Amino acid sequence: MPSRDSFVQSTLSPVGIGAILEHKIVLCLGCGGVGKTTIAAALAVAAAERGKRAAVLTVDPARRLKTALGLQAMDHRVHSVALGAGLSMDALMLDTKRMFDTLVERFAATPEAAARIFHNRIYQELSNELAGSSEYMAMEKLHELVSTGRYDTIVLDTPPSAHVADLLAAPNRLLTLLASRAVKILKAPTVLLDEARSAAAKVSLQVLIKALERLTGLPLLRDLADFVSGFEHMLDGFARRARETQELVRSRDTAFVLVTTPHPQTMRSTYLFCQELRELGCEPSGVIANQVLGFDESEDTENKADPLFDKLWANYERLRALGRQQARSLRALCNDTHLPLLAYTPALARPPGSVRDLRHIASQLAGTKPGCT
Amino acid sequence: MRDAKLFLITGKGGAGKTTVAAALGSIFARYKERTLLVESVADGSLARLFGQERFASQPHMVRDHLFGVRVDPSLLLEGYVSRILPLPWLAQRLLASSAFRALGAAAPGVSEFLLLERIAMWVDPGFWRRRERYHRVIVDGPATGHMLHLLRAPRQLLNLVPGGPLHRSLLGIQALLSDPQRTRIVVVTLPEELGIEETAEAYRVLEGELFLPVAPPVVNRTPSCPFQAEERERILRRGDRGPVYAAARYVIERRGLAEVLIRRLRRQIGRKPVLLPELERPPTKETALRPLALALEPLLDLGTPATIESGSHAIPR
Repeated sequence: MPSRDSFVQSTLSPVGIGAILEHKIVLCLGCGGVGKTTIAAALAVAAAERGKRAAVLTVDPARRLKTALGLQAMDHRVHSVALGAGLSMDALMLDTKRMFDTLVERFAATPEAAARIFHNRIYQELSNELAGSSEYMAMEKLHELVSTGRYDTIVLDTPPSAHVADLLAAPNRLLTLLASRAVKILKAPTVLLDEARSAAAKVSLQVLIKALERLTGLPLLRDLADFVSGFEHMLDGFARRARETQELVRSRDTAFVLVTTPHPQTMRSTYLFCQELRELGCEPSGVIANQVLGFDESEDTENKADPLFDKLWANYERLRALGRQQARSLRALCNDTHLPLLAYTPALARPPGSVRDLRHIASQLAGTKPGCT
Repeated sequence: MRDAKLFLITGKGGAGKTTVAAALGSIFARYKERTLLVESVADGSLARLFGQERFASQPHMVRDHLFGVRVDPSLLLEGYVSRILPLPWLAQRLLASSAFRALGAAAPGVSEFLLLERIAMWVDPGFWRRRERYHRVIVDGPATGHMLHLLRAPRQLLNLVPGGPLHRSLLGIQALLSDPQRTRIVVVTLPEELGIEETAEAYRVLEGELFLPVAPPVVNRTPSCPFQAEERERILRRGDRGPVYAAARYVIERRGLAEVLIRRLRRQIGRKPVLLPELERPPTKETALRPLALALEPLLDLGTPATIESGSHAIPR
């Protein structure tokens, strides 16, 4: 396993994750493929190692990590993960569709009303893919976990959204949509007529509505109207929840962590993420760099006789140069965003596949020796 | 050259969709084919590879044979309505209505339909606009999940819309998407566990569920390894001998894992993946795409022999 290059270490000079773990909620943000899930899980491990009651909410873990966390496919229950030395943490996976169903059940006035929504074709076909629904449901699940009062620290691995706004504004967006004028129109397209001020306009709008109906086919409009009016009755419940979730995420109890890799394209996205986050009024606590190349210094005299030595040395030099380049770029990213580098993890040839691997990454994040608590 | 007209590129975020779309465009343009590059997630990254800040919202020439356009979701509705409504004043009236705009934004499937409809128009603009026809339309598409959602949309909407012009448009789109003579879906992945799993799953849905024509998967940034097979074995046998050996083990294991995953993907989908080499730095201009374009040619029916699996990127069976 690669260990640390002193140049990389001094260039990055991580400030540590101690302050982050004092927050009730830690949101790991970053673009796809940076290892958000791994970092989120390792942060929860680090919290547990500090004696906190910790949980990690993952969205879509890789199979080996899933196995390591004891999570099965399509399983939304809480799993306790034994970390050894008497420590444990909880892990769970987001099931968007089920979470949506749960909310509908909760806020529907009657079981019949809920059943009507469940049977609506549009809900069936689209509840899983409705605009930003996985982001929305991640936030809802977080709300649910916080409400249990069982945890000191909850680490959230976020869905791979292209934009931070998708995540933070998701609850509001669906609500705005449902509360918008579109709802009224969908329920009764003739509302359009109210806009018309003159008789001529009225006639032209009537033509339009006819055209619209012919264009879309009436059943679509009917299904939509049904779907929308079914939801309308639950708007209050949903709105309250959305407000609470927003308050929760924007409170001092929540820390935002940007996860990145040293890949140039990723760092560019991370930079944009940071800007978007600030535009939304949220200040990230810092950057965690995943998969940084770093190898110890070596003067290697004992292996010089090895016939492969030249090739080995060339490879070593190439990776070291690459690692240093990565460290410099990461430093530039932190300078540009005025964010501290909280921690970094060394590049691993293999992704983590066991609790031991996670503990190792947690110790790298915490800056302690593996296995120490 | 025979081959599809429409290439839809998808893959996990960061896998290299844009790079592959650009490399494909670059190949076709070199063969003097009139090629349109479509930036569907308009962040300008595709345009930058061709030295432009961003593509415009109407197709425009980027260089010889190569055209670029960015999809502006807010203009899609407008374009569609003014094309289907015979009277301009009617279209204007409808579009001026804020209520109609809200409806367009709220109704599920509308944005998906509009995007596909727009793409279909670029592929086949019809008799009166035949001068604007392209030989190839390459769409730098959304990430896999969204792409599957997009490709499912016509079917779902066909169920909901039993007749009318919208129904006919949907049938046309559906016919284009499922025609192996005209369309090719390209899934790009990195040789990483999650990406490979997602790709296998995407194939299952695309081929087994939606019956859409899919190209062999493209594995981007396949790591190379400077050591020969026997050298690898020797290095791994020697165990912990300091950082120089650790660095060697790192490249060997990384390459080994990639090979395992690529073989697994090949087994799961029964297709031979196209492997792209890992470049020292990500391409920032078109010339940097050359090695990738060369590796991608076997994906296309260009009449050249497949040479992709020779050299240091060959994956032993």
